[in-house]
Amino acid sequence: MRCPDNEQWSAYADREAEPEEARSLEAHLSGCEVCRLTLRSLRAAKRVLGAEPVPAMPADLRRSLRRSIRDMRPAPDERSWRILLGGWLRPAAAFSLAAAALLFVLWMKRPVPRPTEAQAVPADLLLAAHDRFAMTIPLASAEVIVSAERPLLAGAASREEEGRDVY
Amino acid sequence: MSTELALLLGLALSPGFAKGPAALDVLRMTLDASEAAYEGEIRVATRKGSQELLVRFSPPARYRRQLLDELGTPALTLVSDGRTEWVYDRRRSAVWKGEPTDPDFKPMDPDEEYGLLTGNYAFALGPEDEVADRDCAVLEVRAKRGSALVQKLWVDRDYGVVLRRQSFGPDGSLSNEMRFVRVSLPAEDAGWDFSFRPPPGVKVEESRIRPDPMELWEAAAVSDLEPRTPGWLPPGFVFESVDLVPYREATLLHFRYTDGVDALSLFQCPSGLEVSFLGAGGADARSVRLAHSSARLALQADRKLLEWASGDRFVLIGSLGLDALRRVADSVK
Repeated sequence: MRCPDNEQWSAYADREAEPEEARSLEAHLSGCEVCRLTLRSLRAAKRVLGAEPVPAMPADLRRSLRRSIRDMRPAPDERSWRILLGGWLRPAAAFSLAAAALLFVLWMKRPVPRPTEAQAVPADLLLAAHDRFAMTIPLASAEVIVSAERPLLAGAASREEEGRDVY
Repeated sequence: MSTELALLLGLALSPGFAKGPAALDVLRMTLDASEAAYEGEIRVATRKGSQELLVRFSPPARYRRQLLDELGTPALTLVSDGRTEWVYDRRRSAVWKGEPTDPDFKPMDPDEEYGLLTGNYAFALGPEDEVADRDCAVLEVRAKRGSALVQKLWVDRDYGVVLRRQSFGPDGSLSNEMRFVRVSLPAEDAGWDFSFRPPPGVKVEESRIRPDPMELWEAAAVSDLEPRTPGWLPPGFVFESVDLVPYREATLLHFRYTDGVDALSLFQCPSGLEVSFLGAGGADARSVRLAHSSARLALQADRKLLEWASGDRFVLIGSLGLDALRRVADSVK
């Protein structure tokens, strides 16, 4: 199957893909390491951008990034060669993507402000993040983690009372 | 997959089949998500008591898990249609919406995870057993260092679903157990609804946690913090990924380590950011000594939280022994 293009992955990352297309992309994702990397890089980039308006990417950088991603996609009949070559191409492709992604991320990087006054992050938020991670461990039991009930797996301090987050 | 699994299990349980490889075949199948829909009732027992859950699963990744209160009413509900997860806490009258946990969305691929597991643990089949009227292969998981029994898994012979699981602590005692008391497998997914409609008047919030596992260099590029990681890890543990956790105007780094069974988290918070233990075993928090500073230790269920300051602030969360946690903390430079 031909790899979906960046626009499709971008729509998928934004949850704007149609359900049928999303299913098709997920099916593709399960068998394509290159696209998993592409999606991960896109998500990292979107996280950096946050809610900020997206400035236009310099054309040269955009072309360079696209070229890097395109170059690392194996043609269908190339996959067997990759296996025969014992993964020789894999490091080269990974390096290519890493370099492009680094460039992209550095370009977008904006400083994250440090807290200016004493603030307290709730340990429950950290426990929630830990539990989310634990649920991805191969032999973890999601039911046991859920039954611990706390912390809320959403990890959201949603309301505030007297300046303190409430769970 | 069910035919394949049945064939493998048939081979595994036949007298002429070598014990080791058969156990690993069962392990492989256990690691795959079920391709059959199921629904049932689960009892989870921990040192603090037991609780019941109603579960419903439809492949590839749609689920509904409801934790019941003492009256049998859902107190906590997790629903995912595969793309969005809703968490509804009835008692707090709160709903959060976010990304579901995706076991496949991580840097480590299935083969690497399998290699990590089999490198750290030995797997063997015990005598067959039954759970909720279904035939199961029983997989015993032992640490290769010390050969302590870590987990016992009852794996459905036909579909590879774990129907019962016992986890053991470092001293060999049972730390928790989950068990299907009733299961319909395969169940016919006759229009199961995996959507969620918030109850009237309950405000829906965006989940704060959106896992986005990345490599260290990526985190260093997008964070204002200089990543500081431990120079020592417990035997068998490896770095899995680092994630960003936003909190107000700050961003925390979440370093994630695993040995295939256990999870260990290290959080690096910007200096100036305190950590509140309120509601996380904080009432029982006590002070412990590290090599160059003091730390706070709190216990929460089977996990320990160790918090200290060294320029930035750090929190270590895991189920390891205190000595191991201390050693990890002391090695963060």
